[in-house]
Amino acid sequence: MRPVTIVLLTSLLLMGCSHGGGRRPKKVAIIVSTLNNPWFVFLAETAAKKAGELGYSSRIFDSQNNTDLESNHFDNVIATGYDAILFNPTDAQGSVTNVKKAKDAGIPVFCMDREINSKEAATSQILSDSYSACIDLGKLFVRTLHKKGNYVELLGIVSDNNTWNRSKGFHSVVDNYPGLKMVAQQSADFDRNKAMEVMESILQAHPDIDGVFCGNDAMAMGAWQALTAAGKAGHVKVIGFDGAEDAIHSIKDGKLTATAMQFPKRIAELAATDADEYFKGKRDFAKKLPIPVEVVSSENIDNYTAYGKKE
Amino acid sequence: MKKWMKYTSLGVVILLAGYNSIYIRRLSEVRAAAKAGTFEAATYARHFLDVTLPAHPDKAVDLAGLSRTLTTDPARAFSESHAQNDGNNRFFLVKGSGRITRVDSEYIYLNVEGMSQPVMLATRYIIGTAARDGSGLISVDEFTTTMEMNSVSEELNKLIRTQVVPPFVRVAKAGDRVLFTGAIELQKNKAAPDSLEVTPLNLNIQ
Repeated sequence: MRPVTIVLLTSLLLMGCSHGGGRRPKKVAIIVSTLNNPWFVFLAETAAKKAGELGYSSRIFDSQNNTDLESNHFDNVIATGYDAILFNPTDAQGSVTNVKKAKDAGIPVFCMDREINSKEAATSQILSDSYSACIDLGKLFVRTLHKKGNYVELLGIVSDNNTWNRSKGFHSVVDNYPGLKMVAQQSADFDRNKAMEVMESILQAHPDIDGVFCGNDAMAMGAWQALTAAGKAGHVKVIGFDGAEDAIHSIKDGKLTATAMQFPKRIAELAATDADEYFKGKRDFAKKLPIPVEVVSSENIDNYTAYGKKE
Repeated sequence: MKKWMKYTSLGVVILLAGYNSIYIRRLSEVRAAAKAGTFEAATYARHFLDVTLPAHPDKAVDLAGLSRTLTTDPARAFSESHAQNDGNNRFFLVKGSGRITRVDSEYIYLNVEGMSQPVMLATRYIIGTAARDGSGLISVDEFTTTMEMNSVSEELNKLIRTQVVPPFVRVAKAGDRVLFTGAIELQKNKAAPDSLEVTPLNLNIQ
């Protein structure tokens, strides 16, 4: 064998080895705040599905709304060599440290739906425009209650920015109408059972209410159950937020008055696509990308299905 | 002796662990540190209304012209709109002049040259994000959190409600000719509305 041939064959062999090493399938971690809410299950599963379609293996981690558990997931993900994290944070401020930890380890983080209080830590943040949607919900609430009545607000997790963007968007409209009086405002942590308990307790002190504004659909369904048990469900207008399956059915059945449709499929798929583009070399991502949210009521319910629009 | 050493060592360990577990800081220091990182939405809004917007007069489109384009070529009309997301609700910064036809508790109604539909200057309910988003000069990427950006919208609306509208409303009457700059919100999937509601940003009686 001539020396030139030997050199060529050796080079080819080395190139083959190198290529084989580079083809190690990328692993994507999907860390979500909770899997105790169907909306987040849908978000996580859609992200996993899209990652799979793009050729990546993935695993879903449930933080159970616990920042410490979330931190453990990040440690685990960093130690076991994941290549990207699609992340739904538990706490806007508390989760920043975890994202920075991943960034320092060279792992890009793409936030889904919930925001962290940093522009630099995450590679991108794909967020529902909750504030704008709640301005529209506030207008609908004012119209539905004819500018007067007593109402209750159930807040989500108080350390989550979505909680306040929703509350503030709603109040930026409703507070202009002195005839609308908020008789109670309490957190029910985005949780259906807790919302039912909180609503039962509020109804003891304030039996005369006309409306309930809830920071998500799970709480709206919990409030609805409490109102039904108290025999007030027919009169009190309940508004949620998310576009979850049971809320959409409930609006169809004339129970809930309205919700705001977030588009978790779009959010999850964009996050997975961002990770794919990152692997292919892209670096200039929009730091924050607000995704529009649409009001769903009996007027337009036929255009929507659970978690999105009818296709 | 051994027992004595054991308990002394244990005591030292507990003291050290306790000392390093507790940090005491003055509440005033914590508050000051928190304040240093606080975004001043009111200051931002004031600067936007007084400095940023007047420095970009080209951002405002002629309302009468926009109204015509909305009917003849909606796609072109909406190409001049802005929003923080790519949804159906779009915002425009507009300017124009017109004569006051009516004044009520919520609006001042204008007849604008070149427009068939009435223009309603909002004077009571200043709500929504039109003032923030109409010009396209405020971007979400400027802010650490979306909460900061949303608080700008609230502060702008407050300034309009308390400082732009009252001096105008005090003197405005039917028949006056008004020069205005403002913001409007339109929905892409709906036909041009029968009347246009304007969130006022600058109002002058000629």
